[in-house]
Amino acid sequence: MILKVIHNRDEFCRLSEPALGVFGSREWLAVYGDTITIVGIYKDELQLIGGFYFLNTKKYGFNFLKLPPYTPHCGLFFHSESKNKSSYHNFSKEVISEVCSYFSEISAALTILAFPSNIIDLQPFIWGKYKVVPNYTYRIDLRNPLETIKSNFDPKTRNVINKATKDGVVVYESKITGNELFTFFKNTLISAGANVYEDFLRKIFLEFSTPSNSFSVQAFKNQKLVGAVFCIYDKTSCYYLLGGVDKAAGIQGINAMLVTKSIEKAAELGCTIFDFEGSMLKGVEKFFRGFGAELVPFYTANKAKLPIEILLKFKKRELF
Amino acid sequence: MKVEQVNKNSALYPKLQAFVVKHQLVFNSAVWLKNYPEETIFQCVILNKNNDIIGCFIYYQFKKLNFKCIITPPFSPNVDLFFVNPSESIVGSNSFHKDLLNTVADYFDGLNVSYINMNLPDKIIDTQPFIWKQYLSRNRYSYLIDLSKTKDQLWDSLATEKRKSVNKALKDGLEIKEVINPELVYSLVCKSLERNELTKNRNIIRNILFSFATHENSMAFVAYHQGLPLGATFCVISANKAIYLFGGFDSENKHHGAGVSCMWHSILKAKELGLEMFDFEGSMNPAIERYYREFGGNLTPYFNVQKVSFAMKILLALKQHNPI
Repeated sequence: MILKVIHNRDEFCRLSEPALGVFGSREWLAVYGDTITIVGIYKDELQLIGGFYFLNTKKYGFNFLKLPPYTPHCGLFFHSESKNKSSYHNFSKEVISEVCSYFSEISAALTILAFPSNIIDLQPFIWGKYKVVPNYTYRIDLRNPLETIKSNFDPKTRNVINKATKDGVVVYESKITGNELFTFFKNTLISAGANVYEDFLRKIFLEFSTPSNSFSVQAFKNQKLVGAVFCIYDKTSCYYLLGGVDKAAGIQGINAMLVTKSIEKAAELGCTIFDFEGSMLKGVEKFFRGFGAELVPFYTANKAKLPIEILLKFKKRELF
Repeated sequence: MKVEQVNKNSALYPKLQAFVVKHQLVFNSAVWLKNYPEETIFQCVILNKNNDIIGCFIYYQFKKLNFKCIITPPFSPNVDLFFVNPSESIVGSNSFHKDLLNTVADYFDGLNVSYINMNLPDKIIDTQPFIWKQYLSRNRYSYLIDLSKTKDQLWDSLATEKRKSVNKALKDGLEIKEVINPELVYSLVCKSLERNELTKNRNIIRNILFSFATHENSMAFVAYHQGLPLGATFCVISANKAIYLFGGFDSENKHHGAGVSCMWHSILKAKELGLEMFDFEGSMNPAIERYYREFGGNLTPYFNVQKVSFAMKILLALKQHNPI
């Protein structure tokens, strides 16, 4: 098995898009330009069977390996021809071991990765002294009728939606421009104290986003924008990528209204899964839980050089 | 919701026994808990607002260098945390789950111990309440064989090496017998433990084999060659599962196919008994993991939660033992 950086993105995306959907598409990866490293997994010199990607950045003179911002995982996928269960597991172990060795050889000061939820075997990373930690997302099965989906909402969620409607909040689809969305989300992320990766965020709205891969819904009160949700989608799944409200508006239920509208839109587009993209933040998790979705774990692998690890044991206890 | 520790003298004890029997919780059963010294094994009930038992779990507590430690009871696959979720809605069920685990995490926090390291049953996937209480949640893995497959399908799922081993054992005239002979199984298990320099908890193994094991709750297979016992496997039957607990072999009279054949017969016996799963109980040891993997089960993650005091962490670091 050979792992090597791929420069020809068409070669990678030919396999990655069917396997990963939108997060394996050429358009999505183009958001990150040359900052992203795409690695191909080859069975031999010529036969590409899988791959993954990551960002290699420098901060305070240290080398950091991390996920591309706004991307939920490192896009690891691979195809196996094994039909025998045991052979499949052997092959999977071999691939994951190679991926782990690839990351270890870079010897970054800090590595924080997440894997698609179908990748469950991270034992090679545990053996490679990584801390493998579960994270969680919520998913709604959109194959159910919308009435059933909505009947699964927490009554409290339904109540705040009704309250927002009574308060005169109106939700529209794609009513504002990409530039306006960029400005809105940049401001809400800053006010929430989150990191803003301005270049990538701008590219998502101005270069990546088209009606065939994404949509946004916005909430207005008295013609004033008070909240927005931005989702991206592929043939099967719709991902809640960004959501924010103008807290100064002082209205409860705006976000719940926007999510409901997004779920409706995702179902209309023929998606079978609505993925909340997870959160380990207590408040956000509770909000997502209120939509009656199914909890789905996915795994992260984390490693740091000793002094950084000691620091992170205090700062990022959940990972280290 | 609250957690209460229960012992034989507690008023709740008879109700707990009925709950354990009703839900077929082998590792919560009185007969299983008898395998452990009384001062080390603890059992708790989870009570709802009406003080009805809605769940239970077990743990093992000991002192080391004056540090209080809590772990999964040795040879129990996990703390056997079980509960009845009364919610019918998805939101209600998820929220109940969160509340319950939060209550369990609070209980352990209240014990004020230096070291907590517990395996959770594979059905519990939501460890966020532990994470939010500063526990570390880690992945562990087991291999589970789906026994609804036909015998041929199970055979085809084995790795080629495993099939060769079983065939070689057959060709060389090894006899695989189901036994009720605790002394024999114990001696073979001890031989393996000695080779691996593992001396701990032998009394627990002895109790499991001599006091706990019956034809109804467990099964043991031994491979013989010309009358000589070469290797053994021992499994516990828990509700719809057979769980491989331990095995052993005699290095002086060994045969490549002895252990594998005993395991293969255990799998077939579990199927014959109408059980749904065969659980290898997992291993994080690469060599053992590979051995289990080759039986063709489904890789199944389960979670381990840990919390270690600062002083204990330093001690573990000095001993170069880092469970975290």
